[in-house]
Amino acid sequence: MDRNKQHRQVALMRQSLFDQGLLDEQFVQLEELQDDANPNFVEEVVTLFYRDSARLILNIDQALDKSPLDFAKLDSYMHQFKGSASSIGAKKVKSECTLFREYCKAGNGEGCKRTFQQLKKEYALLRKKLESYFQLARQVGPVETACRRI
Amino acid sequence: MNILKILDESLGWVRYKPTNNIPKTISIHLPHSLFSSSSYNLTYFLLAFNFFWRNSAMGMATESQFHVLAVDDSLIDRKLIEKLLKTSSFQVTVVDSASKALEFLGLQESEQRINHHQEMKVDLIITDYSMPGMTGYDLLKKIKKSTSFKDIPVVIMSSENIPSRINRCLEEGAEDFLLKPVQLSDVDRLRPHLLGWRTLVKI
Repeated sequence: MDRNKQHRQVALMRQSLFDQGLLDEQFVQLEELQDDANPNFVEEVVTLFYRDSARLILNIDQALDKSPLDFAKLDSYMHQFKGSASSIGAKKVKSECTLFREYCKAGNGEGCKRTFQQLKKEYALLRKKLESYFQLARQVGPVETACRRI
Repeated sequence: MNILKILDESLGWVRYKPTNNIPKTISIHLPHSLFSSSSYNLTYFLLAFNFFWRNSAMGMATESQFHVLAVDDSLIDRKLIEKLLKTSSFQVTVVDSASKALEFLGLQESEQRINHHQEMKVDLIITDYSMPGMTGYDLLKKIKKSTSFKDIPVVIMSSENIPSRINRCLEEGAEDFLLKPVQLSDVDRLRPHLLGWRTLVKI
């Protein structure tokens, strides 16, 4: 009984991430790649993303401190970052990336800085939520993820 | 002739004449309807044919797995493309730059030219477009200019949907262009290119 309740909790947690616009279809694609050979594939990819993108976040922070701003460089960093975010299905983070790039193209430094602060917030929030989700999912054990299409 | 018998019995699309001697070539007569209806039928046929071929006695003469060389500077995308390809039963080698790809193929001028040829035969190259240094486009051009490797199908991946970029790549000889993030359904599209059917049939 308790088991089923836990499974339901995991499913609800998962669905809320989609409902809140934090994740998109690409995350489902990652789930579909998870199998017996790679039972923790999704968590591995997400962990890799946070580890790999930390460097880019630092680069962007440093670049935003410079004066005058090198928009081409900023855009290039963000292009890389957006690509990775997109690959894990981080929907909200991805849209902040798009906004940032638009400000870059417009040469709007303030817009870039503002957007980047928001991006970092979304990035951290997603990390926390995914960590909780993976932790609970691991406790409950593997289950046929009824992939409810968003 | 088992494979043709299986195809005929299961799909009902193939006519064959059993012979006693093993022929060098096989003619397959496909119904016209396969071409005049949507390309979905033809793709299905090609995939089914590929599956049966590889699982038949005749298929044993060919390689059991296609070897794909994937090129991407992004760590995440490398992990992703490797899993996608392995899940689709491809043998995979992943490198993080175009120059490493050329090295792997043996195209790079280096002091020690290792003869990879037999075990490292590459059946398809899939590369990201935007990479620092040599881009995927540059890599494509180099491969198509090389006498030994110009026939290897090359597929380009990009996160940006830019028609002029896509056209440029196709004109330079790329077989296909995939938008990132790449999905399993995209990887399924690769098989007909690997079969070389594109040279026989223009879908």
